[in-house]
Amino acid sequence: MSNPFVIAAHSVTRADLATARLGQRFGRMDLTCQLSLAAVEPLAPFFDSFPRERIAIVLAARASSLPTDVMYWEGHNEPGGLSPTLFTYTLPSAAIGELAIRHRLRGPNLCFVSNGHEVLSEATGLIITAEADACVCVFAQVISASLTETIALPETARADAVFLQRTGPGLLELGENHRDIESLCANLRAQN
Amino acid sequence: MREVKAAIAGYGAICAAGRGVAALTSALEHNASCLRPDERFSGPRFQSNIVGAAPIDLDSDDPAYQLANIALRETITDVRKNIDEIAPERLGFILSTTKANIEALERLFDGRPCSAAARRHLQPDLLAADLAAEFGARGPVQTVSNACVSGLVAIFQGARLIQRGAADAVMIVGVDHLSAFVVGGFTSLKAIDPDGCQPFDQNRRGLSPGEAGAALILVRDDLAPKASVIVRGWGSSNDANHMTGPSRDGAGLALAIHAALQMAQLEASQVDYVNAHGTGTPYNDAMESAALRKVFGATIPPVSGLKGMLGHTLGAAGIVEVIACLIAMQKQFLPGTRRLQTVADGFPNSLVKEPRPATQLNRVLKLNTGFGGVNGALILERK
Repeated sequence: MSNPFVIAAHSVTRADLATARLGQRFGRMDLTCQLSLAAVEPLAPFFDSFPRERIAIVLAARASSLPTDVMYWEGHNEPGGLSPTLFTYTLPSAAIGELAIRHRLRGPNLCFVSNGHEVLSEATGLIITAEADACVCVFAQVISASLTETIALPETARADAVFLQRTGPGLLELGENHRDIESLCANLRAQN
Repeated sequence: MREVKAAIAGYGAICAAGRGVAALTSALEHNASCLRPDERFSGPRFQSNIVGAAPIDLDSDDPAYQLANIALRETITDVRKNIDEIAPERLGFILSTTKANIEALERLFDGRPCSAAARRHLQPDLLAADLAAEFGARGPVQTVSNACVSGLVAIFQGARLIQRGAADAVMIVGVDHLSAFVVGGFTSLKAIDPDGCQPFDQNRRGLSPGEAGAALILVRDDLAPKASVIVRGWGSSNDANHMTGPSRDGAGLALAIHAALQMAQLEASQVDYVNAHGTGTPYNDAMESAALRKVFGATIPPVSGLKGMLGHTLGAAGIVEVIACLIAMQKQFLPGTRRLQTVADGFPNSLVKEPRPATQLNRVLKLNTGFGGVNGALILERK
């Protein structure tokens, strides 16, 4: 079976969220979820070609949920105590949950904590083995200013998203030289 | 071309039952309740101090590493009986965790001592990298964090890596430690049973937090002829319904189970036993019962859940509960559901309260679900 095809791709930074209107839940989400949803939103029209249980989600979070963990734990000595809303987002896979709810995606899902290196290859694996017919791939990088004191990563807030499906033509066929989602998205932006 | 399968060649664990597989085996055979009051979680900030604590050093600043290390050491010892040698470059490593060493975050906030290693292990991928290096795995290294389905997803990943030829063996470890961070969080959601969880019981009121380190090694089945259990199939899905509550009709979990059965090329009637997620929350247990009815109809095989024994061990749950299944398959008995007294109306009649010999225990279905609507189903088969 051939490699899957990149049908659409989109990247966002925190600045893009100022104009994002993505439902009532959006304002309550943490930054990782907001960036992930904003990155995936332009890909959504392509989902209609598939039954929703045949679309997988593969997401990697660069810093796990640590920025939200810090915000949540800041409340532990506050009079109101810990926030149940924030606790919900102290999982890197929370963004998968929000994506699934917004787009009714009921297929397999994978969540990694990493630099995103495995997102495209694992999504490809799901499609080639027919566990899914298409895959929403997301790489979310959120490192807050307070977190840079604790982990050796620079401050950033961005997400890259790609929609892969079994057949083309799409933008391109995923190849061996398309190693990671971040550089793939950067190359596609450069071509445009 | 012969399809490559992944076999389970060894395992190890530390959990509320004690240190080592022998302790877990004894707890399973005696249907022990290992949930106990823990002074660390007493007081108004926590809904209950009844938790499933493992016998680790409470003064450690790196409990996640401690739990994982203990489990992996036992696994390595165990696996040497089953396989000769796997080249390091062909040995993969997967960590399953939801919070890694969250202890470090608490210490940093409080100004308590926190070593550089403990702080480093706050990041799950760095914990994975350090463990992989320590245990000689120079193949693919991954960190899976899929909420409470992480353990099962890590096993799916290990099997996938073997099937596509990326590794000949994969070391898989699940770990999460008890913390004020997590117990306080479940308290904020009012999700904890003040008296200890009662899975599938008509009086169930919530979960009991637990901790564990649990590890196993998957090996290409032709390299582990003495290994007796293979990964036959798996499936995952998302409810796409709610962030913390499962869909009431069980359709999402049923989808995952059907996917696992399809991959395994099995009929539902060929499953001998179901090890449930069974948290003891009103909604989870009801959803799981609904899913089992959807899949199995009127003939649900024996079902039991282990969280009344061990507590909910989050990222370790899938793996420690799979290890319990492996013990049961080896000894041919059905584990009980500790703390289940009266089965709730409409729940499976086949729920097993007390352990008993199995007529046959060759194919086991293991289920887990989690926040964000995630569902996982794994089918194990004795060779």
